[in-house]
Amino acid sequence: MPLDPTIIEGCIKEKRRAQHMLYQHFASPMLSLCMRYCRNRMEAEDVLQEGFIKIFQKISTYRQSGSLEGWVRRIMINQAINHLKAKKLVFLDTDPFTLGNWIPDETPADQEEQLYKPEELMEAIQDLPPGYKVVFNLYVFEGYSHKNIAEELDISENTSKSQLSRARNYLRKNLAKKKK
Amino acid sequence: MSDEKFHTETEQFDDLFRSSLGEMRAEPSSGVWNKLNRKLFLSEMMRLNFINLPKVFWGVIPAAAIITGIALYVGLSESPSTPIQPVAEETVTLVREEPIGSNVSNVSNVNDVNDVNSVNDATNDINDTNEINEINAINAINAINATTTAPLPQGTTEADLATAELASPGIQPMQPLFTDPLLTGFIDNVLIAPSPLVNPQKASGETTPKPSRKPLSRSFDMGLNITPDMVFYNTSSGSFKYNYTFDFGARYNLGRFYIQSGAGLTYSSDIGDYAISYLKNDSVGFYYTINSFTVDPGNPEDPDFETKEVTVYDSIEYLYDYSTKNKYYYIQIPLNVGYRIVDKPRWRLSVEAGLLYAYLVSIKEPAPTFYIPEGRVLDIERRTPQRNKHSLGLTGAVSIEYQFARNFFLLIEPTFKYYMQAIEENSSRGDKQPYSIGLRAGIWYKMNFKSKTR
Repeated sequence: MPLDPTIIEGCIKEKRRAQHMLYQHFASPMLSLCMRYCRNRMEAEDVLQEGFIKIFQKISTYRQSGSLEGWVRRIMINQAINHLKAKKLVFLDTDPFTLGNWIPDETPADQEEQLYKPEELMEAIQDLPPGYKVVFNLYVFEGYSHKNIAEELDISENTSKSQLSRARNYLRKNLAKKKK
Repeated sequence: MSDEKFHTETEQFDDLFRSSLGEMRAEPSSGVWNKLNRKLFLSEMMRLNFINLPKVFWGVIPAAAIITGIALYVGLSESPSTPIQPVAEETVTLVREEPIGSNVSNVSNVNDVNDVNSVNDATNDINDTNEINEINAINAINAINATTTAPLPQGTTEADLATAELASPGIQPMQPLFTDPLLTGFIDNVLIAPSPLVNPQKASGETTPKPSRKPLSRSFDMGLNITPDMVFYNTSSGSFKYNYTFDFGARYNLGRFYIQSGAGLTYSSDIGDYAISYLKNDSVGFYYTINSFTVDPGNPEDPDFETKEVTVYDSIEYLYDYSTKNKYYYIQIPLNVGYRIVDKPRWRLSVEAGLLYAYLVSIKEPAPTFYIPEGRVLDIERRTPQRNKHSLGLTGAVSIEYQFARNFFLLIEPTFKYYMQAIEENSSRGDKQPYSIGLRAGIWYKMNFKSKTR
């Protein structure tokens, strides 16, 4: 649902009512985004709060020709990555293909979807080590290429691939354990 | 497995997450907006942006400003002088050796020197009749202004005094009667002052009272206070923290000024951050080994393989964030000087400023306790810097006191503190020199001293 332009104008003028309306509009999807980058809901709410402060501070720089949701999402992702960086984000720089022949298990994805609830999938992502988590999120949910991820996180493309591959395997194992 | 199948499988795996979580919505708790609202409000206040101040404040603030203005006006316009009291040894006294009026017949007209006509009439009469009286009058002025108890020259009348002051343009100044240099200088200074003749009391020769100095009231107050403070500095858990101070205060009042000191115990808490890096053997993948294979003679191109899945393990370095709640206790010693702007019987308004010394007396930082099954801890990195032992700050406060009993009063005191060094040693956090805003509240006991007149 598009946002009333007067809300953005109100936010630029720092009107609290407009800020609250913007918050209500985006809080729910953005919290879901933050939860994928954090370890738990509480941490995600902290990131959400800091992200909204940045949004309100910078909203005058938003060009209304672009998508507001995309702009808000971009700020939230940056905030989440900064949050993880502050907690010593580590990327183990390993080439995935040196570890052997990586073979996913044989369970078809449509069956997996029936097997796992969204909450379980979210928990599995939250349990990922920070490096895996960031790369997995950027690649899978934000549609970044490895090149983009490498630029964003200042790592090599191979590291990005390695982290993604490890993340997938980690998730598989983790989900399998949950089912047991 | 072919690359194509591999990619298909991974795509399906990724889609599983996309489809389940991509459109997921999670409702934040109501506290998030409240915290956000509070932070935005504080940020606006720091920038003196009052756009979101509740409407009620726009009524309260002008009213408070008016009340404060009136209070300040009343307080400042209170006469600093005390009621006039006769002080014998400092009173100017005219001593007449002989009764006046022996050679002036119409002096009785000069009863009221404010009545200029009557004075002038009398003056003219006197000028016409007795020139010697003019000389006597000037001598009398000298005598009066010299604040001595020297007797007036013989024959001086009140009309003479009036004549000399009001209507004697042709009279040349005469040498003063007194030759003492100290006394002469004083007389010269006093001569240019307004004549005491315009004062009816002086004109009528009554004893002239001089305002005595206000006796400086002295008192000593003691009180117990509690102060919640918001200390602004970057912490891992927010931009400010709450400190709580319980203090004993002592104050010596001298007139409207006072000096205040005391001692307080401050409790402060913060999050202790630790980064624990550890190695753990974890499966990073698996592969199949071929144990045996069977070739079907009918179809030798497609042998049957007997395989075994082999899991690949590797030592992976993990990072575990651990937080503790650290507690710090400080002894604080303030030294403030204040001035009472408004001093009413029931309430007082003062401003004060001074220094604050704080010494860290106790640190309670619980050690991180954790258990990592099958893991090997590589390093425990403490991310929270050590706190400085000593701290010096500047303080300022506006003190409002309300006396609710004979010797007891309540204190409400918005305070501002600016610390001249960082709270933490080698701190990389943003605010090197934090500041705090607090509200001191307490109950005080007033001990009055007897006033002494100086």
